[in-house]
Amino acid sequence: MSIFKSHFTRPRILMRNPSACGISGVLNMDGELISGRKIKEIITVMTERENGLGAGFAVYGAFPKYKDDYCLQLILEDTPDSDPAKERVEEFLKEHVEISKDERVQVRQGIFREHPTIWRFFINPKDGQNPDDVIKDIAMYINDRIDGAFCLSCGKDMAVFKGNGWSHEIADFYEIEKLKGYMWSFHSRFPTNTPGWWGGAHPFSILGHAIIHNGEITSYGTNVNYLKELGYVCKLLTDTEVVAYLFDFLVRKSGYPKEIAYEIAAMALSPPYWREIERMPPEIRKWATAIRITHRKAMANGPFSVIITTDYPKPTMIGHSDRKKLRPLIAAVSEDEKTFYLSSELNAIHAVDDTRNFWQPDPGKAAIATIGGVIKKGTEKPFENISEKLG
Amino acid sequence: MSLQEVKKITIDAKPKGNNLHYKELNKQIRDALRDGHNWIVVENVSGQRYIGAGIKEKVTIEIFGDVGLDLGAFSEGLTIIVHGNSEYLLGNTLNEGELVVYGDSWDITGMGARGGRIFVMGNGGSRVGIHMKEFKDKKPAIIYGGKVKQYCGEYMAGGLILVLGLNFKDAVIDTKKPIGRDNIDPLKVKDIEGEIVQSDLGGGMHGGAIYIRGEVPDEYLGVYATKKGFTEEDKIIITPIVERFCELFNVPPELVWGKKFTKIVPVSHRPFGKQYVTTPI
Repeated sequence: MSIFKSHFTRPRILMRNPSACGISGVLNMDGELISGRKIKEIITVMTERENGLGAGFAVYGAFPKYKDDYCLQLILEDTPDSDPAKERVEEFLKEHVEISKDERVQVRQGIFREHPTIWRFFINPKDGQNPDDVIKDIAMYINDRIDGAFCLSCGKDMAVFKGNGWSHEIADFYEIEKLKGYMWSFHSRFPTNTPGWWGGAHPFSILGHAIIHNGEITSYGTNVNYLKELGYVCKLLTDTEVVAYLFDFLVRKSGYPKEIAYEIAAMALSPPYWREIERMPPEIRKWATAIRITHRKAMANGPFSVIITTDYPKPTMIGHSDRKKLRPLIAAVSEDEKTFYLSSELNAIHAVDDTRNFWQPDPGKAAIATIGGVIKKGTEKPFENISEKLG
Repeated sequence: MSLQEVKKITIDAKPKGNNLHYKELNKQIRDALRDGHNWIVVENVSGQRYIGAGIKEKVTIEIFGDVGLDLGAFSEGLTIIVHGNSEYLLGNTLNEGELVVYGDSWDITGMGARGGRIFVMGNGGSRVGIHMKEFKDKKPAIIYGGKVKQYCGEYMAGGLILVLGLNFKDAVIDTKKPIGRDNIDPLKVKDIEGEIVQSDLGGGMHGGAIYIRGEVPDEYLGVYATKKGFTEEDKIIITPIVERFCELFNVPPELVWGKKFTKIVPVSHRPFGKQYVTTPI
């Protein structure tokens, strides 16, 4: 069943390729840049978790020259009987934003027999009122309406690179060894219940957030309805994007105090059982109940472990799993306490750093690290140490 | 093995800097067995899966590095010693033998095990010992030196699980060397502070027993699991296992016996009986 003329920017057929995944993330808590060479070493260890149908990575801190502009990274593909996709995108962008620079993303030839064009625009909205919302709407419009164009990422000083192939092929294709960033996330193997296409590989990104995910979100239907009410369009034909949008809503839009927004979002995604809430101390029980009721439809069900990287309000990496712990996730900190790692398997971390400081976060609890240090190891009681901030 | 002549061989799992695929690694192990080796040392292991899977010989495999999923799955009589950590599904459907891990091993350890013993020095994850079973003299046992997470002993039908709550973090003498018996200082092994189990302990179990060193809050018990007094009889049952643990990990036995054990058993051997239709068809 062919639904679109293109096939890089839209899936050619709606057939799913079931699979599992390998995920990993690295954050330098001093904000120092990490070479992509190291990241490639981490992810290619977990070949057993791949099927060669897709891989991708997100890098933060890659464009120091344009760090105040939004970087709109696109995959483009020209289709017969229409203008070149790049021209149509540019035409649309010029109506709404100022373009500081646009460039072709360098890729290595000879790895894939055919591949789309990767292009990036550094932009800033003309209307400075709510720049984040404008950019979000632009990205969603491109994915939804402009055939032959697909927006990979639209955050500041970050970009997402992804496609169909083995993780080592994607790493070589995008010349990962030339990239540098203080925060990375990398995913191998294709999204679980998704047709195989370039835009459908992980990470999924909106503004400064990027999500990689192992497992599946069985509450997809409920979550999509909730997101529709909130003005998000789910068009990627996969379950993971709902986590990205839910996260954007809970952390950025909801207006919770910035320093605890992550924990609230993590609790909304996999809230404690009612029987656990009943046993909590009264002041925490009050908040847990409120979050569970208010964001009832934001609860993500099913087996999953996700790594969320975000630059809002400051660079942060979050590892999170479902509350029944049906997918693997290991966290680690290097011996010099500078680097924070998350990964599906410990051996991926040990491939680059033989640290002895590693642990498994508790089911349904988030391990959170940011510039400056680890905030939560994921083994604490809910809202431990921050109850005074909740008020 | 003491009466037998030791024939040792070393296999490098990372020749020329490239990790061997688990198929190739297992082939080399089986080739070594065929050549009559009974002590196989595997070095530089980095997450290879299924090591020793399905092997029925009574030989020793000693591993340096972090093993991947399904270590010793379906094996019958192997002794596996890991100087490193193990990923998930350690001893999946183990029939016989002894698996020893000088590190952590996370979720679903000993799933569906039907015999043998699994000793882990460090911490465990969720669903340790799920669906473990026993038959006559075949009684599997899982022993964790550290702590475990949710759903320990879920749907357990037999065998026993022991969680000791010991902290080996400061007891490692030389952190640069692989952890083994000689690298553990018995005087620096401590009790873990705080809880060593999480909720849903023994959820839906209908056989076997779980022994936790220390108190277990009532709310941590899973459905159809209940606490029972720890008797002299229980002590006789777990003594050989505790002694073996102390021998393997160089722990003074008096430290282990210094705290009271809590025994968790199923309320009945058929807890879900009411869920099924009882009218004759």
